[in-house]
Amino acid sequence: MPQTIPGLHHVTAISGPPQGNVDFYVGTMLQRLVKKTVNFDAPDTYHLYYGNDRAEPGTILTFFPFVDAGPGRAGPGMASAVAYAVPPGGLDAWMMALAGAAVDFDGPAERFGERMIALTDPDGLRVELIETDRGTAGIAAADDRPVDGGFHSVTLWLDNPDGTARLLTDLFGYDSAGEDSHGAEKRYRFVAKDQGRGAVVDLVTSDARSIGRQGAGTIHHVAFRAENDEVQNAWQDTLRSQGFEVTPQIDRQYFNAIYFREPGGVLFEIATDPPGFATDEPMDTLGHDLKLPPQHEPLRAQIERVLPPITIPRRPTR
Amino acid sequence: MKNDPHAGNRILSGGAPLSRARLAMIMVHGRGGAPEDMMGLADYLGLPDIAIRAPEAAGNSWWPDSFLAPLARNEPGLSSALGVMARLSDELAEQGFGPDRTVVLGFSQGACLALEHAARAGRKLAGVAGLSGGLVGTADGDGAPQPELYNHVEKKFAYDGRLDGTPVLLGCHERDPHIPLARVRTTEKLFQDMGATVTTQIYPGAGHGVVEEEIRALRAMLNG
Repeated sequence: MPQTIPGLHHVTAISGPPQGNVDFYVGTMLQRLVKKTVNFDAPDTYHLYYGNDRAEPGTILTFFPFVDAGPGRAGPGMASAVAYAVPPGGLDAWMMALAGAAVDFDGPAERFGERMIALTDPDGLRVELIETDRGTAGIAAADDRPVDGGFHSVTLWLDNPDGTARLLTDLFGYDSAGEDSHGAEKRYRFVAKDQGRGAVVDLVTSDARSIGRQGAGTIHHVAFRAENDEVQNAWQDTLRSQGFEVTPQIDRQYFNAIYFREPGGVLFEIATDPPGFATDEPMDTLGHDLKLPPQHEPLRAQIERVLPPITIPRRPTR
Repeated sequence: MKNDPHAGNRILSGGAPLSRARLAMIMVHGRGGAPEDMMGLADYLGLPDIAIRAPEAAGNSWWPDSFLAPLARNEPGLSSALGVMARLSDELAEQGFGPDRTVVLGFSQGACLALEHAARAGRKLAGVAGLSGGLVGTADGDGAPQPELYNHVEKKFAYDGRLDGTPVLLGCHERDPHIPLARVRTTEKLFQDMGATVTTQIYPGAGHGVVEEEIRALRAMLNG
């Protein structure tokens, strides 16, 4: 039974102070704050999860907002961009809305025949919006929440794409979907078998000189989906048999996680779909309250005292 | 510091060393951008005999609101940004790169800043390029909001210098959500009135970004 990865589960990045982050992803990108919790490994820092209204895997962008994070910079061995899927014809409304919010962007340009624009979040993370059929069926182009379709893709910046490409095709079951050159940059596309939400991984090599530095505005890790614990266990075995150092399963409250470093240097995770984000609060009020995992609950008063207050903006309707 | 937010920020240097550069070019990033982006654009232009200086905006933004908004809404960012441009020009002049050996180029918000700097300085430059940008203006106007200015009031543009012999490149999409075509046309006319030689390229459709035609036009302008 050759197991294949269906696509991205979530992407986790680092930001500066949380308020600017919330204002941007809720107020401008119209994402739902689906979970307000803490970094389980450093509970004096928030862990904020944004996603679509149903908080589905493949729509979830999460942040560790470090108040004193220095500016980071993408470089080889790091994920350098995350892209949301916009239904065909939906980009024009987005461009107008972004301009209205005085948010700059670049484009539209074409990438593998799809129209796209690129912008940077307040901390410098590159966020792209790409018009695509993948995962956007049934979402109206003029929808007031046009990134309901979740992720289109993630871009990994690598010195040498070969090892990562083999991991994606030979183990994850992705198909190689061509390559494209733009100036000093070469882009290799890989697409998951079911072509759904978050199915695309682009590997990019570049002559541009940059030494990556983890910090505000950079992606920390990229998580792929496993349908359940059993599938995740199988991945753990497969990856170990191929010589990858894989962590034991870690309980992340809303999913179970295993981590490993892919050959190009990016931290990969495989995360289970269940139990999902409505496990400790109702779907209707996701993100309202500060949620702590059981091991940190006794420290709640202390944690609440040190976390900076944040105000969740009302999502404008367009 | 509060009143001069951009003072003391990084200024990246790249391209040819001044000792053997033919021209210096000040490259100004857009909102959310960084000087490194401009270095990437410089690499892409592939002109080995030009020295590059790329200043960085505080918080990656030269001012908070649209360049079409009333001037006070963008202070102290706007004045501070113009100060950065003036000081950088003076420093280059001291090292032998006066305005006639200096090109100013910007993208988006950076284009608005580069154009406004050039118009206010009012001296012949080796070149000016506004990629998806327009003049900010020198004072608020007193007219009605205009749909063709995206419901903003037209500014006043009081520039008294001359730019005779200065090549100016303006590139913009026909329907740029940030930059109304009407302001690009006003910018074109004002630079022409100051004596500059203006090349305007309008790209069809909606968009906001550096396009291949601009790169070609820039190479032609900078090699000329």
